[in-house]
Amino acid sequence: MTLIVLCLCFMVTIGTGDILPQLSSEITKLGFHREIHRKLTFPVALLPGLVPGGDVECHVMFDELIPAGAYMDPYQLENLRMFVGLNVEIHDQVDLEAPEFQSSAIHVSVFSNLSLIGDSWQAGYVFPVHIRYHGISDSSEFVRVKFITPSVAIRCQDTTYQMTFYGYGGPIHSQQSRLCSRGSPILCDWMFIQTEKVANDISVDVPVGKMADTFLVLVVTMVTTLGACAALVAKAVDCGKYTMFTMKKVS
Amino acid sequence: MALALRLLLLVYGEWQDRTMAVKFTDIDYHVFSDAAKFVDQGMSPYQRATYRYTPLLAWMLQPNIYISSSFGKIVFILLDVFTGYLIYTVLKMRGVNDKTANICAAIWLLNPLPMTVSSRGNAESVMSCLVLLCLYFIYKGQVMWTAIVYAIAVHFKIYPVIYALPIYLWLGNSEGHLQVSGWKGMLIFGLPNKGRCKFVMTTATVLAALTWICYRLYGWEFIEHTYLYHITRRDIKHNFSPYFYELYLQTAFGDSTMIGIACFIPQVILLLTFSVIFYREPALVFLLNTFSFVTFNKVCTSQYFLWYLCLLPLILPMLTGITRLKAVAMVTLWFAGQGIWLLPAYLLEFEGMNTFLYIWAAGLAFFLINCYIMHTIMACYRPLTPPTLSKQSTTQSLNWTKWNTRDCDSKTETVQSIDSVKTVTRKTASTDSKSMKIMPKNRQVVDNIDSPGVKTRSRSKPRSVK
Repeated sequence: MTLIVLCLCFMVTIGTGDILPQLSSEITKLGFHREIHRKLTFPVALLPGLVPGGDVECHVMFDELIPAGAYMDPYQLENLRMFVGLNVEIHDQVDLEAPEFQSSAIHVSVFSNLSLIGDSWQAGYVFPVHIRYHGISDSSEFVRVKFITPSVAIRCQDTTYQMTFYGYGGPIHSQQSRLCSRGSPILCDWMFIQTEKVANDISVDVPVGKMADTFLVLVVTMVTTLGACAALVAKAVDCGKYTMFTMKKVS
Repeated sequence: MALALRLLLLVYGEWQDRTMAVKFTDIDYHVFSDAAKFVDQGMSPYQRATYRYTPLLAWMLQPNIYISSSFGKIVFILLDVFTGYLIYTVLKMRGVNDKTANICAAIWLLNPLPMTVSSRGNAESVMSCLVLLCLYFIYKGQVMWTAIVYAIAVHFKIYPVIYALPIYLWLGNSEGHLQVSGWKGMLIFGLPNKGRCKFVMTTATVLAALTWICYRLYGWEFIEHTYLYHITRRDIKHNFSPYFYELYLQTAFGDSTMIGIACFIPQVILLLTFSVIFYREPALVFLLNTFSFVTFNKVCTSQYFLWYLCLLPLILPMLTGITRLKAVAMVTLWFAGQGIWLLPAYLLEFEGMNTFLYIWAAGLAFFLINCYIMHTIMACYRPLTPPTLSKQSTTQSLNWTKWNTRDCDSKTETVQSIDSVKTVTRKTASTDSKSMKIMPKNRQVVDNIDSPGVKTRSRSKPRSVK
């Protein structure tokens, strides 16, 4: 079976030359709450068996590795699933409050359907990410968080015969059995494909505390808070002349 | 009207949630609702990340699943309105006239802040209601009910633990302990009596029972998330606390225990001082303890402000020493302090600019504004009724009167005659006839004690109360 698949892929690859699907990435918004935009564009020639309204349907899976410096909120994603149909499977536990230096990368899979737009098939999503607080720096006011390009996999199915359709015409990295979709108990064969990056990895600059501020902040905070505390105690004790008659000698 | 406005906001919120990207509903409401779903499925509410509340809240919101997802919001709104009613009732119990009590309740009921908070599904109204109910029973003299409500409040959120000492001391009032002087007096001052024992035993029993039930059901998770998290919490994300940047910078040095303790000391000193000095005025001491606790806390967010804002209307009729201009200036300062902080905080969070130092400086400015407000409250507070002592001595009555009649801005200095201790001075601007209208009992006492043997030295000409 694997041999047949490889042969088929080889044949199709020969037929389509070096055409690759294009993956474009963009990060929007500023500050600690960002949105990652991914768009995958397949030339029609790469999916010859796929026609709108036909028996074959294809799905795309993006394997994202969110760096330790960022996280996505599972509850927000659940909300987005209900409102905009964003289909995300989170493979690791997410700590919503931990800073970067106490966190690790999070593996997530985003599932998307292909739709014909113009003369190409497209799949994509908008994915909200939140930046974590980072450790302070002694040299720079910002540190960089890099979002690496996700791995992309495709699976096609003949809905009439309920069989996997191996009609993808581009180069394939590997084939893996992974979840068919979010929360699905069934495994499907996914073909990890080569993509052409339209842009490089995306990154954000995160503001961090400055080591040089430490002394100033420590001294001024302590002096101000202790001074304010002393002033309030003094005022209270002053009022205590009237209220704390309990401690005075009663004639 | 207050209820109608809140319900209108609730309906608007539902519409906004359905149609706009920015949601009206508080993120915490989703946390409570998710926790309620976990409970419904026979699981622990603590399965929901960031659920740091008692399981009672998740149980309370079970109808969110079966009746309507807005059920919880309606409960919070009703409790919010009930808080307004309690403000009115407590003030009436303290002898404030109907009009003033109504105005003070309206300050809470028509305040856009609590109105929005409860309509968005934030559970702070549960706490404001419990704290006010506790005060209501204190003034009513029902020790048992005070203890029950107090224990539930502490179970719900741990911060009302700061009221334990003033309540305990207040319950010693009627025993005449204050008659004894010196160290012996101080010792007796803190010794248990019948009321205090009743309060401590009832509180301990109710609190232990609630804790035991929740612990049996949800184990260590309950203790960790409901209690320990709030004690050990050290949030390095930007917030109103003057300590936030310091704690953030300390992360580079690993252990920040010493800094944590250093932040804790002023809080403890202030809580002890206010409790011991002002325990005879429960509403005032509740407010000052909460205000100082929030202001000096390592973490301070805007929802914490409601903890003391619900207590503020209870002392407004007693701030007779304050001029209208000063009151407006303080309110303006309080909002300006937040505005100054919000700008750099917005630039950091939503524009990605490095404004940590500015946020810290703005946090310190807001901190000082809050301290100034506390200072002014202490200076301008005039108790309405004399202390309820069974054996009042002349000195005690006299001290209360001096407190009641002292100068707010310390511009008028009172000189007491040793022979004739019945000394009363009134600050000119702060004790006009208008302000006296709302404190008839006060006036009566002052009028009785006022004597011709008063010597005053003041920058402005003193005016006796007539």
